[in-house]
Amino acid sequence: MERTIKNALKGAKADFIEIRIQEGNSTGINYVGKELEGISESNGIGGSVRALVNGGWGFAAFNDVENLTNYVQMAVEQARLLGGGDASLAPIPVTIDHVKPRVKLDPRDVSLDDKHNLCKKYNDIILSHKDVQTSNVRYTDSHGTTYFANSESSLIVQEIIFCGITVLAMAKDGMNVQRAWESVGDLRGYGNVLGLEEKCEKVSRKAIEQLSAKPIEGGIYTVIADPKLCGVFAHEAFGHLSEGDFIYENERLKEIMQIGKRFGRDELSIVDDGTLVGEAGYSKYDSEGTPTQKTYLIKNGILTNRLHSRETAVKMHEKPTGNARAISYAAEPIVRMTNTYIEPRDWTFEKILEDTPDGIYCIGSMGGMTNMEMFTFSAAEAFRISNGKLAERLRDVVLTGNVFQTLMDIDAIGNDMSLYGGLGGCGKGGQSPLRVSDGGPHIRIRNVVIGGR
Amino acid sequence: MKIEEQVLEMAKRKADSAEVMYEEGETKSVHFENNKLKYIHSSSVRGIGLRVIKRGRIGFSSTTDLRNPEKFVDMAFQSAKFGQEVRFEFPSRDGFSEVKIFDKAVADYPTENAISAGKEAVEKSLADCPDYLCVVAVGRTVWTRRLLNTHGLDVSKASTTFGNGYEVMLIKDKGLVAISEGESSRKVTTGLLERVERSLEKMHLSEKEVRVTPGNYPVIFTAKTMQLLLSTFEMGCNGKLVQKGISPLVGKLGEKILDERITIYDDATVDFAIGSYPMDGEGVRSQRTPLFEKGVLKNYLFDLQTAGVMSVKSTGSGNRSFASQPAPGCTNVIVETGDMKLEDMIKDIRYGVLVDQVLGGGQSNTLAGEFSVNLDLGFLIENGKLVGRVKDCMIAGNVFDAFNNIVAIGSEAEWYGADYVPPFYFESLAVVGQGG
Repeated sequence: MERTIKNALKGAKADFIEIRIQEGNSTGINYVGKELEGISESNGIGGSVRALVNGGWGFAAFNDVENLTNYVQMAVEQARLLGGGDASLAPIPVTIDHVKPRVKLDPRDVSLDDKHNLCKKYNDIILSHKDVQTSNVRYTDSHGTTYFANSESSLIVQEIIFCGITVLAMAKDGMNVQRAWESVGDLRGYGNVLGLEEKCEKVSRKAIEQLSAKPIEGGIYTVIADPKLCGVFAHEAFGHLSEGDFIYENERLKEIMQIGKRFGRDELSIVDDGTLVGEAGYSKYDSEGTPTQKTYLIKNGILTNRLHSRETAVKMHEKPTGNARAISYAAEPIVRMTNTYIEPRDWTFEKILEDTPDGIYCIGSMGGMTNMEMFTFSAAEAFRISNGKLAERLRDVVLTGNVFQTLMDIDAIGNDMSLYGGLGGCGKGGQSPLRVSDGGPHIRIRNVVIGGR
Repeated sequence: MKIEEQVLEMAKRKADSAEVMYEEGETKSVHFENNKLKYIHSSSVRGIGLRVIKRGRIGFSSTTDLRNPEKFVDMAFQSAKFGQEVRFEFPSRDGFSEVKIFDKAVADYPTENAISAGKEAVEKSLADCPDYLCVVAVGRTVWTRRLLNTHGLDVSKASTTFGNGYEVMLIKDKGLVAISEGESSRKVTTGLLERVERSLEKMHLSEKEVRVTPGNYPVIFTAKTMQLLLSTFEMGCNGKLVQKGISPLVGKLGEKILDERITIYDDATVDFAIGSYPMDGEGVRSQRTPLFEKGVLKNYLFDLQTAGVMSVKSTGSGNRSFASQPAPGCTNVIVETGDMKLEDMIKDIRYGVLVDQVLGGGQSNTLAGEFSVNLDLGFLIENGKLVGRVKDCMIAGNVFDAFNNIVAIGSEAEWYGADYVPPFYFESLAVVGQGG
């Protein structure tokens, strides 16, 4: 494969070319209720070529890898058709490397029979709760090898093994349908999906309890977010805003997002770190061949860095950060987060709770979104806090805030810390779900708008 | 012999029955970002999916690697050892709906035209205000799908899709405003400039930011935002969710669920609509299925397997690609129009909100009809006039309640994605925010 790619790169008439070819296989098992809805193993191969001619990009994706040379030509022709542009690339080191996956238990060494039995066991636990209406156990693993080469003579082979499972319980009472779930998924291997029996019990109980939760009344609240929701908050409320492709050609936003500007209180630091081996967002190199790194987006409340591709970095006179990620061979690398978290500080969860006479404790997340000005995210579970103690269970809790204001409203940061991957991921520019993880400690946020009737 | 025929031959030897889907397609799109033509993207994809029935169980595999069909066929049989018990037979030639899904003009559409359409949209926007930042994408796809099974079905259909997306953004001191529009069809569309114009009008309306006092008010959802609310019905009518007993609409066929003015169809037979097809992903003739008629629940949507389990007939709703097994899904969702113009709805409201973009859809308990969304783009209505943009607030309610408390349905429907829907005027929804 390496030779095919090298040959295709020769003789191509462009200022810069990169080729990515990916091959791999995957397993999927899906239980819904009593039925095994799907179980399959699949494989695939495909690739893409990105060519830069006079500052304009051409991109061609394909499955018939044997015709690679044609696609190199096609990408170059398209770049030429563009008639020029102002794209250029920040320099990165020329790299020759082969990155092997590091897992204790490789899912490829586990039989389909064993994987199926594991899913069935989890599914049976959930369905054994008589008030559970239905279940969903979804398992997936994949092994992928990406061959990357560019016209600067880099040649990087990266192998990735991803493995994860989601266990979900759904309870129903008339028109009231409630669900609860847990999801694990990262690059640690098959061991990761073992031993989740207790989690299956937990989601079953939660879904049932959720039926009697009260819908929250809309209003402005003080919120304590658990580490998982804290991660979604870090990702949505700030992470996306620090992506270089959003800022690099936007003069007004450059002023607003000036390095050195205060965005939060002294205690607040937000980090993106692609070097955390095993986490869902880990890669040694990004999709442009730039080594990943630990980047402080906010340090002690001050904006310190942003996330870059080679193209956004050179335009902003900064350095690439290894955040150009493509979801697959068929997509262009764009600026993305990896593993994003708020750094822990010194509050214990108990102390934050005691210190909050009235508020909402929000646990887990059903997702989050941002339009770069405002963000929303929803809590999977929520409890009223009254007199510093957890009180009744609430539901339908969707929180919103203004990106530019809310970080200042974080006024307590816990001393605990967890990162979460899972089967979901991040969506941007039609590339979804990209494997990422996010997390942090417990945090308290003031003045959060929560919708409700 | 072609690869898909080879695969079927190989599967036939060991299977009770088998089905192969082969797809290939070409996509070409041009992308403008920050007002500039950034890149041209093309992709040529192909892949194959195999379903086998062995000892009464379903097996499946898919691949884009056509170099080793033996291994791929073997993987399908591996999965059939565990697979679901089959409750259907593959259809033989079932006949197809007469619906147009291929437009030669799309196939022949020159990339240069896409570039000039994009340029025009950017120029028009910048003429209005040089500080705008625009994103435009114009793209097209030519797709071929061949479906063959051991019951004698062998059909190949070509289809086209054409689409464009536009976003205009303005950065302000405290935040930003971004308005997006888009259209998609199976033929070449020509509405991009009109959509740009409409977006620019809304940019002007957004210049003034106003506060809304929290409370319950009349609310208009434009056609663009109706997808958020319709998704509850799409899920509720999904035969799979009905079979699992988790749809809130289980056991309610024939009951009046919504206001009697509301009629909603799933219709795969609209010429050139993006969701249309002559047959579904397993060869069943496509159709127009009433979901709600005059507010009464009429049908759920089924694929073959789910229909088999429920002892009913497939509605031709088996959605899939070569890489997935069929599952019931909507095609085009058509909502019948009512009798009130959008302008008259606005005129009718003394104090209320017009919703044109929301943020956070799908994060609530959609199945149960709950919605709670940030007002990404919304306008305050005072004494029958749009007075300015409202932001930093949320709008919440329950879809089933809302659709029983409507004032009026718009008299003009529009296509957004695969939905053809008019604006809706709701009597009262909760608005919560920092204002007041």
